[in-house]
Amino acid sequence: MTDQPWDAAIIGGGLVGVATAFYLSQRGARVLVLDRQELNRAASGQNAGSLHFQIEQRLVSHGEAMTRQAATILPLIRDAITRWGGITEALGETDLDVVQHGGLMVAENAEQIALLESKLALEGEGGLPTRIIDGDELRSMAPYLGPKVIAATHCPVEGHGNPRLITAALARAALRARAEIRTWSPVTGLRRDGGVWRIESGPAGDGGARIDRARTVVNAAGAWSREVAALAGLHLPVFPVALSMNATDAAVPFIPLLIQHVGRRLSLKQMREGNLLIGGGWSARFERAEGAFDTLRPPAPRLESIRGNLAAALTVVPALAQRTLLRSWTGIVGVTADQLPLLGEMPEAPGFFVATGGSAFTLGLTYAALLAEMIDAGRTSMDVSIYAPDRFGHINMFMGA
Amino acid sequence: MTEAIYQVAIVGAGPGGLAAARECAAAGARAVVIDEQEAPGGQIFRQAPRGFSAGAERFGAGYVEGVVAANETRALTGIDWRPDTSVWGLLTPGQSGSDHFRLATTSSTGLDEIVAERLILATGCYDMPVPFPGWTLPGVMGAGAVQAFMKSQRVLPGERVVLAGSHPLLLIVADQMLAFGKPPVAVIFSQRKSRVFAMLRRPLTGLGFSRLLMQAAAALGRLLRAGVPIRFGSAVVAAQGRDGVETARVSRISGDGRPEGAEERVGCDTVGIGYGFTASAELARLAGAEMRWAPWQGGWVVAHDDGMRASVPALHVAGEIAGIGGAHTAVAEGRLAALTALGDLGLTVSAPDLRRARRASAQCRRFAALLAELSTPPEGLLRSLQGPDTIICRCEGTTRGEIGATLGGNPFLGTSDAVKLLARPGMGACQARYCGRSLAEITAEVTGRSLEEVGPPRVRTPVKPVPLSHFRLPDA
Ligand SMILES: Cc1cc2nc3c(=O)[nH]c(=O)nc-3n(C[C@H](O)[C@H](O)[C@H](O)COP(=O)(O)OP(=O)(O)OC[C@H]3O[C@@H](n4cnc5c(N)ncnc54)[C@H](O)[C@@H]3O)c2cc1C
Repeated sequence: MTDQPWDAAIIGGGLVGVATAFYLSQRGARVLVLDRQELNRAASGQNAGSLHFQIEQRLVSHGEAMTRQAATILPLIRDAITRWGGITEALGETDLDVVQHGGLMVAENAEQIALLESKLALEGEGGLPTRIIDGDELRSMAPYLGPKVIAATHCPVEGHGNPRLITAALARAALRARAEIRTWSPVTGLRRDGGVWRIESGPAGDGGARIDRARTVVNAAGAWSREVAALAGLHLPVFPVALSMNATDAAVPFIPLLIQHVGRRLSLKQMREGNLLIGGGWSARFERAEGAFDTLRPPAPRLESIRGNLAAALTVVPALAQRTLLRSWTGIVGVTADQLPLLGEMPEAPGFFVATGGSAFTLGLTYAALLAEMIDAGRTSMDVSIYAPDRFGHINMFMGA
Repeated sequence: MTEAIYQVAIVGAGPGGLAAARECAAAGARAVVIDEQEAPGGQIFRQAPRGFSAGAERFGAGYVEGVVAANETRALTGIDWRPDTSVWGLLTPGQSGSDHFRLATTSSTGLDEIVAERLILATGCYDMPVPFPGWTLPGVMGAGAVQAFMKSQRVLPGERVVLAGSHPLLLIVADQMLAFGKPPVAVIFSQRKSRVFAMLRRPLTGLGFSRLLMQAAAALGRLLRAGVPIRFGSAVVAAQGRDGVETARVSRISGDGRPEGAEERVGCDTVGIGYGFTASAELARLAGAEMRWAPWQGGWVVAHDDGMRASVPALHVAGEIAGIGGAHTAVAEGRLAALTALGDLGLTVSAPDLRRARRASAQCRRFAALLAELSTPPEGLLRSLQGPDTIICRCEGTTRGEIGATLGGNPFLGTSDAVKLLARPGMGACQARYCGRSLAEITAEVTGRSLEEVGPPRVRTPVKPVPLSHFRLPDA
């Protein structure tokens, strides 16, 4: 150890935090990752692994204004498409179960087809290669779809990553590039002191809290970004949401595509080992402690969500009736007040960066790469100013580190 | 969906659950008993299909009495029975957002739900899985499974059976085989002879009464008189064969628990392994009950107070999931759990009854502790049976070497659940029932953390796989 402050202290060992550590340490920066538990134990290890590039169902179903706003993330999407395509090699791995065989967003009626068409136009403007298909073409592309599915938009570069594998692979590569990773180290204090950040991490044991100093701090705490910002005296409008997922037993590979639904909450894909993951934004229930949400415990499943999610999956892919439900689990994701990513430096706290919000599995590598550019080079290769946290400056007007 | 709200739901119709049911019936409580088997009795009083019951006396008078008592309890009025039903999901009152437990069940008729104010879990145990080279070959099974074969089908799983391990149950199973006219080829204890004999003498030397040990002592006498080979200080270190086990490799065990000297090959078609039992505590863990690591009394067992209340409000436990203790312990604790639950519900419970139940449970627990101490294999033995190629997770085929390599290559791992996610042990159909303990032990050994710190892999809903067809909507 030297007395030199770290170039960056990253709070949160999910996909976003560990990928930021990877990209920064590749640029020669000295970085420290702190997580209060093990790596990848929150949203990044619990999610559905969809690499979904089409505008999401949860956004198109809330009217045109929302859809139009959602389309503003298409530049990030374009980066994610190529970044995921190259990540296995970039990490020196052979198989991380990243596939981009394409994806379908299916529709069952005219109203849903209209939704597909409205998002299709925006995707075209944003440079996303999507088109609508139906009839024989749809059946021959996806013979496993049930008779109720009548049309779909097809995006040839969608697919999935594997939430079990990617963060660990990034961590191994970051370690090789000399990053330091400290697990079981909750950050409990953040303060600026003589132009550097002073980071206090627990658990406050015999030796008390551990102190680190860093030129920059990256808040990559996902659904807990708000709490971490509060340690620095700032507001961040990120809200925890509890979701559920299901997995079947393994089947002979028969679904190469990512399947989503424009009018129902459904995502479906088959992983390398043959298990099918079924999700799509069905809720779980937060545990409570003293009247407040207890986000430190895994949320409880809702039986209604399991039933509803599986029923939707069976309608879209009837052959699933031959499988068994092996596992359901729950996870917590952070949603921003306006559903747009929060990406950049907080103007009230120089050197304090944040990256969260949205579908940060699909976009996590992209957020991380952009953060690394901001921190290391002071500018980014694409204009990301619309995601900057200063759009919430009004709630921090009377705050400050 | 069922609308009724039960005052008490009891999961498990073994001795513990049945004892609880009798108390509920006596108190006039609205109660339901759920069990996966068709007939009540659990593992110990497992029944043969109807019209198939001849030969029960070969399991001894205790078995016949137990079956009769189970069937009598089944006939009690006021209790609803859900046989052939498995609980796959559980929400505590806190988790269900209501004042009640919600149990999601499956049976041949599909999905259903049971709603109850209080829950008594008496879900029993299963043979402790012990990985060693060849343990996944057909014909290698738990000693309890050999016994279950005899009880449920009145047949032996093989012609030439080797029984090996450290638990006195081995003697009882061997004795029952003898009564079937097919004694085992060999019974092999890892402990030294002096230790086993000491253990069997103890119940007679004023320490009190333990029916299991008395039974085992009597069985040992009969087996020796019949000339059944019984060995001590030895272990089956590997099973070999082409399509099933053909040979058990037997080795002597050194003082420090390692196989030593020349191996002997014993021809056989079945190997029954009995080093103890693992608590079937999945539902309790799903409910978030605080667990306790009790390596030779069931592994992770449910922590409870002196009224069998778990750490989760309104959740009670009885029998093996609170620590392996045998049928008598389960009965005592089933009564106690029910009396406490009924009292907590505001029903009248006689104070002397409660006192007696508490005393009986405490006494049973003392013998359970003694039994555990005496049936523990030499330290380090089970670990030394595993080589790098030994399969740990039989569902996913993950070996000890692969788990070790995952831990070595990812120095940031520190819990068995995180190892599971990366290397897949425990992700198959058995939900880590077979590999959970070994996975945790390997994780602890490699990381230098304690078993408590590495913990078991997390339990997920559904605790048993559910056919997806059950979820299809009528119109789909
Ligand atoms: C069920 C589910 C399904 C999803 N499906 C998809 C999908 O298909 N596609 C997609 O793109 N996205 C999906 N998402 C969203 C995606 O998973 C998340 O956006 C993404 O993983 C967030 O990554 P992260 O690194 O920001 O946060 P996380 O992975 O949540 O990591 C945050 C980390 O911060 C740590 N932390 C918090 N506070 C502190 C502190 N004070 N000190 C130290 N450490 C701290 C936590 O322990 C945690 O490890 C899904 C989410 C869920 C829950």
